[in-house]
Amino acid sequence: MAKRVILSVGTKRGLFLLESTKQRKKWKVSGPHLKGWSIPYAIIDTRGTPKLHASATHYSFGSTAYTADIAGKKFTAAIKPPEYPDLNRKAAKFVKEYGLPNPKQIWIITPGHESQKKTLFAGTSPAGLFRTDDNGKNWEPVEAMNKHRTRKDWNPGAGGQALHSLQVDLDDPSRMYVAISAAGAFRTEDGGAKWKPINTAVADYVGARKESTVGTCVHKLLIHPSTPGLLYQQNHVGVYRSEDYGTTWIRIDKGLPYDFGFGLAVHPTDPTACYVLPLEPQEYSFRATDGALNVYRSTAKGWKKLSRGLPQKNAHVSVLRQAMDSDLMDPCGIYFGTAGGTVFASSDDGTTWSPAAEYLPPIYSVTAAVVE
Amino acid sequence: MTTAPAVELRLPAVLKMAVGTDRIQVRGKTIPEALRSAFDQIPQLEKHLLLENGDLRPHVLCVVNGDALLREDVAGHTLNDGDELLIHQAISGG
Repeated sequence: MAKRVILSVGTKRGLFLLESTKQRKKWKVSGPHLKGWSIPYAIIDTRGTPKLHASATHYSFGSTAYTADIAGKKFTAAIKPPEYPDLNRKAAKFVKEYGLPNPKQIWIITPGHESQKKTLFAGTSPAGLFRTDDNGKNWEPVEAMNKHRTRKDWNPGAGGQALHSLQVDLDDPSRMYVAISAAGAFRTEDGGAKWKPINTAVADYVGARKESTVGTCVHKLLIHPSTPGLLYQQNHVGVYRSEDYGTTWIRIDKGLPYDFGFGLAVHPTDPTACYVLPLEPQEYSFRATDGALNVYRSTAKGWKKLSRGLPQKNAHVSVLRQAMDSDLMDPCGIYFGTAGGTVFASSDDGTTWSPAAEYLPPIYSVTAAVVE
Repeated sequence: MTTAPAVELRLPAVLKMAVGTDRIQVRGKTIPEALRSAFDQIPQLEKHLLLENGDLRPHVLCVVNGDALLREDVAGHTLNDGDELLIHQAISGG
């Protein structure tokens, strides 16, 4: 069967699936699936028979995790969904003082290593890490992460205290990375029994940290899919690259219009290329583009602005952290979804862009999968 | 020993997606008892209707035989054989 690309688009009002051929020029939209639920995140697990996994929240009825076939015809909820750890004392105090909501939701679902086909991991808010070994039917907490000695120092960000990034090493199933707002990044080398903060040289408001403590505000963390030990992160303060499994970080945002942003994607074969979507910074808490919607690609010589096909006037657009992704095709497809309900797609490494879908509900997540 | 009244619990469409059914035959003299009977059959339903402290979620409305109950009346309402207990999303805000 010919290869096709499916985008799983989680929105405030249901899940949409966008499907295209390997040319990725025209997109067929189906949905809303899971009508009535908000979908913070959805992803297709391409190991074995492809399966769709979606997190779902409802204003009245709480949250759960669903699995489905990739056509979205039959959804089944988890028997034992991820249950959230209690709010830690500091987070509860913050919520009480500032009146922020406590968005109990599953922020990310990530397939485990290729060798563990029924294993997936989930990150939640309040920040928690969960694991299933039966393809999403029953989820168990990963206590070593959820009861980490530094937990008392984890602060909630404006979106809540969330474990939003979750990456499994391609070569070694015992090595994983998570990132939490606003605690920072952590790595395990033993399958989750011990977790080490990996935030050395990552900045917060008072400057870069000399030691790997917690408290930095990572917005998104990704491993490179074909270069061992290479990681990227979009932080509240800067964009970073690590070439040593996250042990140390190099700040690389010089040349970007803003160091602030949420979305991040990586090129599947070019290790120098990550994609970011800078937003106006913290100074005004604007968190949207400044009138021109541009993606930037890192190169060995600096940042390259990618604007062809993207609106350049009066475009004040927000793109959330889970709403940007790349596929594994050659040339690479890059995708992002906006809070205004447009999915932009590029099928040529980000050089040119066009809308793949418009007028959807506010978009929370976009993930790309190549299936046959 | 008297048997608790047999009640039909009905769920809205969004919860049918989550638990696989929108009609559950339960028993209970009160709504908390009837809900407990439902949770015994479908454990994953509990987290959708109750908070961690056991309270009914704030925007869950209980309707018995077509009459919506005030929140403060839910715990004390007596159920009878053949009653229909409908769970609905409470209208809140606009």
